[in-house]
Amino acid sequence: MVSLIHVGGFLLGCYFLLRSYLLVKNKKEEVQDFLVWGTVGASLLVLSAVPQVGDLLAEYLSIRTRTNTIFALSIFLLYLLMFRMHTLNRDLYRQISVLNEELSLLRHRLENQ
Amino acid sequence: MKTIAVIPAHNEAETIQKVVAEVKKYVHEIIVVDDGSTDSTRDTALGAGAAVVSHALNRGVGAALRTGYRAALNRDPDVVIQIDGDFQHDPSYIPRLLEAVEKSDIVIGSRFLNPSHKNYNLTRRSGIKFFSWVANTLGSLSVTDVTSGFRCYRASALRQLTPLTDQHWALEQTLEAARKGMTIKEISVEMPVRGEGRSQFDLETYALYPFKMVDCIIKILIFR
Repeated sequence: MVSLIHVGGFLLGCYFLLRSYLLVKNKKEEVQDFLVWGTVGASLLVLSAVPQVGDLLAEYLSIRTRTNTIFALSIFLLYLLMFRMHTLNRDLYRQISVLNEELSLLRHRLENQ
Repeated sequence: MKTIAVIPAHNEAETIQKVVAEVKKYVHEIIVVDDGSTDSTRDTALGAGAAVVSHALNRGVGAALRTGYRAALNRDPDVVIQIDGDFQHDPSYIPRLLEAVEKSDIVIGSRFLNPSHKNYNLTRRSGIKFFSWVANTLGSLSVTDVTSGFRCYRASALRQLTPLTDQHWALEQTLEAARKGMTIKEISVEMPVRGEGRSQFDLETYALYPFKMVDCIIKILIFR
């Protein structure tokens, strides 16, 4: 029997797949972003359409229930994404500092000419 | 001996004119680094006769000093003086710093060689003492005020040091200088607690101080 959570997961999966595809197509995101979000979308689609896959995965990973398996995998993925966002953020912060410094010295040089 | 003073300033319109006017008596050129001020720091410093390099964004004292060092070293000085723009550092000590730098690479103005440090609150005093102890232990030094921003460098020494981080630059820079075999000397400088303008040490700064100490120590011990 199809429950509301399965419909929700299916729709969210479709949304991730379609949205990440369109973002890459419109050159607003990189292919690697599509791979990450596309994988998330496809996983949601499969788990919602064929819930037995979740049971197989739970057994394979030695986790008690299908729900816990999905939660555990989602948390791992979120950690990865968080780490990536954090390093990207730090890198951008550093780049802004460098730009800030270069701009100020350039402006100073121009003012002195 | 060509001497250039670098003054990092963030919203120091109230004091910068007085600082520039006093520092001018002892150095050849003054560079004020306006670190993204929202008041009239830039115009006031220009009016007082300093060269002003302006950051579009506020990035911290370390970033301002990094820019200031670059601007100063481009002018080929023999000595670079670093002094705060809030008048906490008395410019009349500059001749003593210049005298001391003739026999060393870096001279630090210390508030712990006189009673003026007693006016600071316990948190800040403990922090400075702790950082100085770390510097002395790791760098085989004997400094008393490693966080002091009143410093004097030989330009040749400053060129050898790597660019500063945006914040918490003092300990790292001092340790790097020690590891590179530079001679670091201290002279007694009275530094009263800031009376004018807005201090960078607000409640948030004090609350985060212990965490920043730990952060800095880990960085020094493991990554440097």
